[in-house]
Amino acid sequence: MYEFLSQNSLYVVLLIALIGWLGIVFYLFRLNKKIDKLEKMFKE
Amino acid sequence: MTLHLIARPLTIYFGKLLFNLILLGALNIFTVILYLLFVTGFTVGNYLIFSVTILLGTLGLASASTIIAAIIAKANTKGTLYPVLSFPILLPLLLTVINATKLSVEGAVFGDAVGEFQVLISYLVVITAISYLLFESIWKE
Amino acid sequence: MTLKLFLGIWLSLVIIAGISFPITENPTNWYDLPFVPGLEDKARIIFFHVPMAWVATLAFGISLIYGIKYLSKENLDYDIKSVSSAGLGLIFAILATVTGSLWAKFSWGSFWNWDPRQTSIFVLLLIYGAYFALRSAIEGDEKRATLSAVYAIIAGVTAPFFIFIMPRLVEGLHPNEAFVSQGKISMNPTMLVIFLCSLSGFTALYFWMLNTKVRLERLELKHHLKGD
Repeated sequence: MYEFLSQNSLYVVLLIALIGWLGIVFYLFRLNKKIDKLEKMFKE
Repeated sequence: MTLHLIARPLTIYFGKLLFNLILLGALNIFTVILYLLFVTGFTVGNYLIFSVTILLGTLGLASASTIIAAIIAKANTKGTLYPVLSFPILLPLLLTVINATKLSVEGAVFGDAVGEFQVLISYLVVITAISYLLFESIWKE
Repeated sequence: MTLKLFLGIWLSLVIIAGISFPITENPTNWYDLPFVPGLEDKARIIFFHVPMAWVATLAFGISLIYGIKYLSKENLDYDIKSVSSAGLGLIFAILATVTGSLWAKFSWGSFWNWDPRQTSIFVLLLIYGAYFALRSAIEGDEKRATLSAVYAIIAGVTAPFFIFIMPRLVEGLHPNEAFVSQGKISMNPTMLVIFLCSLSGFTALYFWMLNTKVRLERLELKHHLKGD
């Protein structure tokens, strides 16, 4: 894995872009959880 | 609670600062004396740098910890909050003091440590000024 | 809505361009990226990592400004903006740290090197970790808002000291010379355009994320106040 990545450093950048995307997904998840909580609060 | 009624916030701030200053100063001097007496191989090369570092370090440490302690005094769970909050604030001070102490032990000339002292003095000024401005809003809560 | 759709397409194009445009020794075509000795394909990180670090800085700065505004106006809406921005800043700072250290593994040989910028982002993470720890330890909206704003301001005025201290302790490893030399930008036009597009795209993305978060927090506060 390390060998491959150090020879094809383009994939390092690809991984980095992927991590950025994961961060945004994580944010969406948190937002979603907050909305769920809020919906439940308004129902009560 | 009665302090809220009879004293102005800034008086209280400077009172607390003074107390911390005396406590930390005494503690530092005590530690230094112990070090000089009992740790073999510990010699100070330049006493002027060493004493100025101790003085500025004590002043900076006291004023930074006073304001952080004031914040924590108002929090509900106080326990482990102090080290967590104070570490990032104190880090620049600690790094500089460590550097200056290293210089003094190595016996550097005073001119070498001027940069460190500038950092320490500006840190002290900045943290005291900001505490002076913000203490009132902490105290009101 | 169209604006957000446009932003999505914009950032997708940035990613496609950033990853697929070829790197050549002598850029002649409009899509050629310059060759940077020692970095090669790894130079492409500038399109992703630098905007993340920039957004983190921006978010913390905006959080600080709203904190100061809260202290002078005592309006909880400012606190909502401040905390939402701080949360986003923390996410982007973590992303910048993770991407940076992954990249460092392949460029500098290890994940963590205590380079000045790594150290400063580490301190930033500590500060905002402490900030959220403090917030969770206080009950009462006004009290929480005031104390955390005060803490953020104190941390904000002491953090710049690292700029003076760090260069004395360790030397920098960040490859600034490849992109900026003697105060002038030395990227080739293609690279610069993609970089600026990425920077503006990420900034817009941040404002969008902040906006959704703030609206949500406002609703929660409203409901919370009605319930009491």
